[in-house]
Amino acid sequence: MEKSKFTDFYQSNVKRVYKFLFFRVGGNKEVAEDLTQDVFLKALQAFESYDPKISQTSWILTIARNHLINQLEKTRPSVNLEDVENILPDCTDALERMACRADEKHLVEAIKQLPKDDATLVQLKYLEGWQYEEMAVILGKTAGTLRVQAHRALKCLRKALKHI
Amino acid sequence: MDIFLKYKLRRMGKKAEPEKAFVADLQRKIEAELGPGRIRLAAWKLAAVPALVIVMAVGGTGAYAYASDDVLPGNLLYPVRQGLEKVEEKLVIRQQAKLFVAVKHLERRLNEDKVMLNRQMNLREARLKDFKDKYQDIEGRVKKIPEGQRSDLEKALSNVSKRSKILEADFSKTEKQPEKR
Repeated sequence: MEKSKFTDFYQSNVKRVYKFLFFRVGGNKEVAEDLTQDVFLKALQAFESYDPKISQTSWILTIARNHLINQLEKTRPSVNLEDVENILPDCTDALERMACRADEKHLVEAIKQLPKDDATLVQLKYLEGWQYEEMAVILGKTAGTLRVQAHRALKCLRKALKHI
Repeated sequence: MDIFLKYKLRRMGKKAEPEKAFVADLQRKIEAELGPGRIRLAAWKLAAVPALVIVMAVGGTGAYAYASDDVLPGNLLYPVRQGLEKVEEKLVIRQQAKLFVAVKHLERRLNEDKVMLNRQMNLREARLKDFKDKYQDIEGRVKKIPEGQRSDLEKALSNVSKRSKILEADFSKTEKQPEKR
């Protein structure tokens, strides 16, 4: 794809990439910004070889994931890289940093109480803004199954909130 | 109830969005990597808008003064053109766009020079042809005068011929060495 179209590509995807990285670096804004910049500069170099038939999100998030893995290998060897490779978020640190108000802190506590799969689904869908079809690819389930699971996860979340 | 919970989650998700300043700053870096062409395109778009505003505001005469190739230095409407260009520069706020408008005006000066040079060359060619035709006509008529009576005329014609050759040589030098900008 022509490099001249990269600015439009950037504007369409920057929030998505930033959020993806933000939730995987413990909610550290500065690190997320540095990584986002690295990812887009890498993507710019490779843009001419990008095939528009591939989804923009898949392409750029693959670059982001690979870059993040490389950085984490260098800096935080204790992080579970398998989770990162599977694009699964480590929500705890990031959410705790983000929660300022009392109701937000309750929400974070409630998410922590969910089973891991449900917590992952809630985070990917409602906090990061993934589409069901996109999640279906990485979680190995159909979009329909994920919709049902998301609905159940929200029910559990509501119950957990009542008890907090 | 689900709607309210989804709203709370999405609102929290918005906190994980990047700051506008960061997004704009990174976009500038990307555009710098892309090169001046990309930036120029965006800035030219900014420069075109005030030009359009001016032309629409001043109507037919203004539009003619601004856009016509016939409005050159020495033309009555040339000060109108210069005035409109000053307004155009003032309408643009961003520094980079101002500079692109200024560069556009420099290019308009070059276009004006080119038009003037072309017209000058066309005019010169026409005058040269006219000169040669008249010279040949006079030369023919002088030759018809009896030999003893035409020496002064032949001398005068010879001086004119020498002067025209000197002028032509000067002009050729000027053509080969255009004025450096």
